[in-house]
Amino acid sequence: MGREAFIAGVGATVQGKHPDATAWDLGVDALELALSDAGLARDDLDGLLTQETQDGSRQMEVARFGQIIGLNPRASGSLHYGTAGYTLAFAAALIASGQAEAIACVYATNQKTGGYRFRRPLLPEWGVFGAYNPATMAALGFNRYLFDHQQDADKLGAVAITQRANAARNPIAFRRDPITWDDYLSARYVTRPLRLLDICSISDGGVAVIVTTETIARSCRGAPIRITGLGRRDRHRMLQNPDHLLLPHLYDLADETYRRAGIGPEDVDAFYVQDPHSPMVVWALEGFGFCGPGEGLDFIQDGAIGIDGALPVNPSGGQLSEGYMVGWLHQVDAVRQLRGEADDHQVADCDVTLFCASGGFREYSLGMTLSRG
Amino acid sequence: MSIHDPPIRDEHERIFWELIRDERLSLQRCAECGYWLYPPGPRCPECLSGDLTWRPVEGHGRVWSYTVYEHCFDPDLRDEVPYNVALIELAEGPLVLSNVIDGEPVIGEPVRLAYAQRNGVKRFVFEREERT
Repeated sequence: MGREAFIAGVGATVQGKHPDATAWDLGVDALELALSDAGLARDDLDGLLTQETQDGSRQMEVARFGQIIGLNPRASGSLHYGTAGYTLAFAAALIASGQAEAIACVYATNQKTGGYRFRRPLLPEWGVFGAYNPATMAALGFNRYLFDHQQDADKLGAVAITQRANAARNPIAFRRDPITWDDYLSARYVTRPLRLLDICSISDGGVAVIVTTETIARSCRGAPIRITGLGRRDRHRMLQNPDHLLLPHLYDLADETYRRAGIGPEDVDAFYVQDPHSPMVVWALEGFGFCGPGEGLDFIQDGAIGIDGALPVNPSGGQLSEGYMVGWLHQVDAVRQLRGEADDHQVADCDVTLFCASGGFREYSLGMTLSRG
Repeated sequence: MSIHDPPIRDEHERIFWELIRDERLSLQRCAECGYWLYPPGPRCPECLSGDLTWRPVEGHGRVWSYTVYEHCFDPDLRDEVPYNVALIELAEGPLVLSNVIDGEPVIGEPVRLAYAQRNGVKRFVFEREERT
């Protein structure tokens, strides 16, 4: 077992629309915020990990970004699927093996301003059948879930409604106007049974997270945040796996993540689910043992997943309302919650956070726990 | 190439779509272990054998799930909205994405293979099987 990894600083730009900024600009802005948060300087960094934008423009390609910020890192890299958790897991491995001491993990995009639309089929052969939107997988999985459990699709509205109420208390969130049940039920379907408000929309923004050693983290400005547990379940056979779109692998992923952290679901104070669409929250709640199979839609009702609820989920608003930063904003908010710095959307007594992500086609999945100290 | 064109990135995909053009939807079957491959590829993902033979499918399956596109993502398909995208579990085993063209699918119900054409591109689709 190598050295443990800590998060020493986080930074996020305001989310939404940045018409005068490139992704590179937003990445630098976020990096400066994270360095300032940590009390570190650019030259304290010896590692750099980025995620490129999803629009194919190759913005945030790691070597170019390193050049822009004037850094010759010891170790660097970029994950094409590098939604935040995976990039942080990569950073933790670099720390554990001694390849780097202080790593900036950065993602930024100006896809909103750039007019990028998810009009490309997720698998190339699906375009023939008119299946373009990434929410197609979620819609197919959720429709089957409703059939298997004889559940009512409208209950799903609690995810979008609650997360929007959370975002209303978060000053950097992109979408902060409240959603009522009437709003939800009258929203048009996009890929039925999913409605417009069940699918996150593209936004501009930048996020940076500084991952480092315990020694450096303890010398930084804020309380050090320890990565206490990491689990992975990648599923490259995709639809060849039974019931793949119902994410059965989340159960094993949860066991592994909890075991590594030495905790169980009862210890989690805030649950961060990377949420490109609402059903992911339902599946993550079931997979990580907060309720039984088929019970997720009932579990989320009546504010249970709100900031002051039994289990706060995505207290900053999540991708559905805070900003579409593919899991990166979740890390920023988890750190702020654990430090008690989340102001108006602070979760009371937040000592342990859990993050769960399962990629677009569920070919990559990750669980991660964080704690103060 | 438009997003409606089948992707032809290798020999396996070329054969797959050529057979569809001839209305003979076929999959590779592993001679070693009997596994039916989808999507097409160079080796059997079960046993890694490269001894694969193209065999036409029987053309029967069941609806695993479906979604209805009520939003137009693509101006070329505006007249077809709403249309469904369905995952069909073929009798041979694989789950394939397609469209059910004669109305809204029913999860768990049987469907049979058919073909349709748009902008000169032939694709395999499914129709609801008459229940007897």
